[in-house]
Amino acid sequence: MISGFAEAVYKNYNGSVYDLMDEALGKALEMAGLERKDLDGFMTTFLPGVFDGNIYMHFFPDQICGYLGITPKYIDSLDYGGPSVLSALWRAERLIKDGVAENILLLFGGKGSDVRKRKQTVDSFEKLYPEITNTPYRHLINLYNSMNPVSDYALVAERHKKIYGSTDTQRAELIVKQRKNANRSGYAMFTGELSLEDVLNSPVISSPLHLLEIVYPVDGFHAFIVSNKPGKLRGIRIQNYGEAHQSFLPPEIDDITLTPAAESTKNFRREIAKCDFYELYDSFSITVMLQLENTGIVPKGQSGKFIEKNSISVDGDLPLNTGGGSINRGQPAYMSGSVLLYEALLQMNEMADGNQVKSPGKVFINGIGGWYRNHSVSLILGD
Amino acid sequence: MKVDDLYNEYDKIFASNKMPFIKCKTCDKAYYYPRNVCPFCGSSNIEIMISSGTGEIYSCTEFKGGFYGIIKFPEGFGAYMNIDGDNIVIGRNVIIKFREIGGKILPYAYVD
Ligand SMILES: [Zn+2]
Repeated sequence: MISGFAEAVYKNYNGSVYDLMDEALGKALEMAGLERKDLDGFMTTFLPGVFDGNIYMHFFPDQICGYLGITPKYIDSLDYGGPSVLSALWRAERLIKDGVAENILLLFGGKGSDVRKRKQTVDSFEKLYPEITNTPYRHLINLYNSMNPVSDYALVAERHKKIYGSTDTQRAELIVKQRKNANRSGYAMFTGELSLEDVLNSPVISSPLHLLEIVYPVDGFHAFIVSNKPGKLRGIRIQNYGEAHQSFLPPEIDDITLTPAAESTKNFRREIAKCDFYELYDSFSITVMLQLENTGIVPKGQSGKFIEKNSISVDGDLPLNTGGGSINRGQPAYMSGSVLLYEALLQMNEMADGNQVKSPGKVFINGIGGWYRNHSVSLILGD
Repeated sequence: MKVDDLYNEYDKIFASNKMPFIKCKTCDKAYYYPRNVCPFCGSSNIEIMISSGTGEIYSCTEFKGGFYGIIKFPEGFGAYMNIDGDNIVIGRNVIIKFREIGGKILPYAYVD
């Protein structure tokens, strides 16, 4: 059960990454009514560049604990990018059930603005260090003029258009509808009226993807405290869980529109259909569409038409990315998983004010990592 | 074969303007990105082969740096590549050409 959760998210944070994580932790402890000495477990992740620009740090979970003044007896780091935090929640629940720890801190995020200032992302970070390569496939991958992660998402969006006839306008519909959710939420970073034309007239970064279909990387941390007691919060737990991983490169995959989300949800598709709202990983417009199809919410190839026809607001046909998603809330350190979980917890605890899902019994959350294709973590939260 | 041997062999084949790939003699599957063990069946009974050097655009994207995409080959493997030529769209046939990219002779796809 989660006893405290908090975020500290800024478009560009001026201080150190350590201050940022300390802010998120402080708020989460306050909500949980706990002190640092009560935290006996710690889980995090590290991506190149997002800790004050460092490519790596020695034994970083230990250094973070040392800095934050916590002394866990259990430490872990998960490295699936985006959905790591969702896997951490499942592992933390099991560790607590087994009596390994009582209060486990999940601290996920980072400060990616140092990488952005150097015109790189975590995917292209190796360009700053010509002697370093971050793949076993070396020049067969990194000498071509790719623009990752955007170009890999563009390839799957283009393929989806060709095979299923989805359109640029359908992807733009999703962006416009998520912006409406953001405007209603009162807590999104990016708000204001947004029309289909605004999306379609924004620059094409890697065809067919437009600038406004791409998540904006920001600086920030989320802290979640998983405990054996819920404290002041609703005692919700994971009801269904699946994770799936695959390591082939897109050129080696027969159908790139079929992601590991199909596998990670295969044991509880019927339960997914019964959820009250949905938080799906939204690094790009196409990411949400692939998950709608791969998790069985919508038949294969039909996500574009579905988005055109249905409302995704909190009182709509399928409440989806209810706070506006990370597309409008910003993506801390190139990972959206925490944004999904944070929004789900706000809604489940009826803390979303004017943007509240009516009777939030169960939520389906799906996270994707390693671009659109390597990892999927799927779960339903309820009591 | 060690992975460095595979790379050296690939570089030699690229230098003669031919397109290499790896065929697994146990499961008969083909792949391009060098691994000394077949990623499909785990066998190390592999052989470097030469492709016909023609393929088809599986997907493609255009950005400031030009066109880039996934090319699928009739021998059953696929590869990322820069793409040149006119009318670059999914399904078009390409021929594989070679040029120096970042100090290495590498294949790229050309739409005739
Ligand atoms: Zn094999």
